[in-house]
Amino acid sequence: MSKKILLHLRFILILVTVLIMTYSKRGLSFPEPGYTIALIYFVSNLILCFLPEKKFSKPIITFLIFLFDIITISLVIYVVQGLETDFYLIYFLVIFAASVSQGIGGSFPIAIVASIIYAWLIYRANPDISFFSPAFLLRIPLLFIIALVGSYWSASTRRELKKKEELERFSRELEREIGVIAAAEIELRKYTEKIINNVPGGVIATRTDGTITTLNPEAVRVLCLGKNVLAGQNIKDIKGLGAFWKKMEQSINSGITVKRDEVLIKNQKDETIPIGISISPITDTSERFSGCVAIFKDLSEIRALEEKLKAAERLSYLGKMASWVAHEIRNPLTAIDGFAQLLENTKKKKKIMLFISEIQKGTQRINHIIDDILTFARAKRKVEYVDINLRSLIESIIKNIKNIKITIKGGKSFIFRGEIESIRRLFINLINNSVESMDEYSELQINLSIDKNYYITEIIDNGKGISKEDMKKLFTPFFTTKQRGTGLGLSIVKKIVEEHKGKIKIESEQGIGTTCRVYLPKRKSKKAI
Amino acid sequence: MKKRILVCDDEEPIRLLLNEALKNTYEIEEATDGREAVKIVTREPFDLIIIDIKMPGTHGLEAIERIRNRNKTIPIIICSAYRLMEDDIVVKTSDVAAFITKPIDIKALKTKIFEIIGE
Repeated sequence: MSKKILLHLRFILILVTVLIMTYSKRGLSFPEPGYTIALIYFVSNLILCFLPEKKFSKPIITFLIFLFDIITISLVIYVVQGLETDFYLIYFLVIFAASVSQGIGGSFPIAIVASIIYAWLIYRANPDISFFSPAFLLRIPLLFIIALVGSYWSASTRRELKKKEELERFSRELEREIGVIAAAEIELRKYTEKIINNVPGGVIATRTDGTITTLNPEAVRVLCLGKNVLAGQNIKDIKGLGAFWKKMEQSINSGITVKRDEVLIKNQKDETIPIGISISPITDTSERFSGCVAIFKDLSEIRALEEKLKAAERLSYLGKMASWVAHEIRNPLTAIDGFAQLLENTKKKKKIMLFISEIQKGTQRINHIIDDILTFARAKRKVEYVDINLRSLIESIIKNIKNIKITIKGGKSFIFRGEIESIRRLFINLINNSVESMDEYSELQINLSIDKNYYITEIIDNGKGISKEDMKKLFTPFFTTKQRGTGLGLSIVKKIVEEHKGKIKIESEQGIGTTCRVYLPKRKSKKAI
Repeated sequence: MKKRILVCDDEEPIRLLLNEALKNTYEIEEATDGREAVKIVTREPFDLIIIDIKMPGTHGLEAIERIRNRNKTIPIIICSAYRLMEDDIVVKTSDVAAFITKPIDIKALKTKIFEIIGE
């Protein structure tokens, strides 16, 4: 019980005591000590006012206070001789206050003390009184009943109060926690928003119907959307993004992530720009596709740079080619010119024939160089594809090679559809490379095999091999390690392979040899040539 | 006795041409690359060397340097499809008696050789 309530109760108690004293049976003529007691009683309560709050929480203190009350009231009863009067009722008040304050444990001892004192007072006033008189049998048990009822009532009230308090505390805690969670969520949303806004690329997320749910500033910038386009709008309604949406739709419908794709779109300034795009479908909580998110980049700058680079490369090739052609042609030209000069003063037929044949060799060589240049430099032209038996073609090439043992395995029925002269040139260049790297009487192995998608031709030599340094420049035009090489052989090979949608892999180790694998795509064919 | 000339060129037709053009006046020896040229020069005496620059194995300029390490006086004529200025070829003039470009004017070549070593 708090100090405040206790003090209030006691003031009421004092007031009631004084009032009952005033209107007792004997009227106002009670003896002087009654006032003194009332005054002491009042002063005691005033003193209690100054007692620190903490003290009131101790049961012993409150018990002593109530004991003091009982004694005081008993004294009043004694002084005013009010045994038969209503003073007795004041015991009820004290016991009730005690039971409210301390429950049954506090009120019962008080009730016992009160009944003993009260019994003694009755006995003292009337020693012949019967034990069965109403003063004993009715009033004393009533004191205990009051203690019992009071404690029960206060206990249940206290329980209710406690429950209410707990409920309040719980609701306060809940409120606080909700506040914390809400703050955290706001923080998280801000953080996510910051991330999306600072991604170095455009981000657009849409629902399955195309409604934009997220749009970052970079996306707005790249697509030149301005301030008119906002989240909530449908991407299908934005002009020029047809191809963009198509890719997103594909991803949503198939549930497949699109990686590093490229589309051409028109931005809102009506400029066509290439866009590099990656798209991931988004699933909802029930694992259904609910939309997708696209990350994209404007590739126009990169494309422009690439174009510049290509142009520079072309120029550089052109320069190299010119210098190479000049040097390469001058050698056979020297022979032609020189032998022609010698012819002037030669009379022997045998010599004349020799010089003429040398002149012819020179012209053939120049022709070969021109062929190489044209193969390398030609633009895409219309080519005639025929069915080629790869093994027969390779056999026709290797039958002209002497001094080197060549074995060929497999592929008797491999029919590849391609342009025959290009494919012949491809294998001539590769086989020549191998042969030139080998000593006489070495062995060249050619294996033909097949996998799911390709005819694979393996050319394995045990020649000099290629250094790691040279491996990097293998397909660079005009790069050669051979004195008589044009530096175009492998460039031409690569070009032919690519034209036929195949691929080429070269592995080499210096001193051990080189393995070259040509993958030519399988195609349906009917007849072989 | 005929004066001896070493012709070093990896191109067979060029060696044949020089041989046919000069063999009436001089004794011609042939080398197919720089290394062979160095080897032959160390072994036998020559009055003149005609050498190409771009060759497999030992490069012509490298061969000239090696020959010069062994023989300071032997005249050397470079005969190349390269042009001195255009192709950034750097040769020490003290090392080389003449720089002849391909195609070759045989008459001019003969005159040059005559100027250097006589007949």
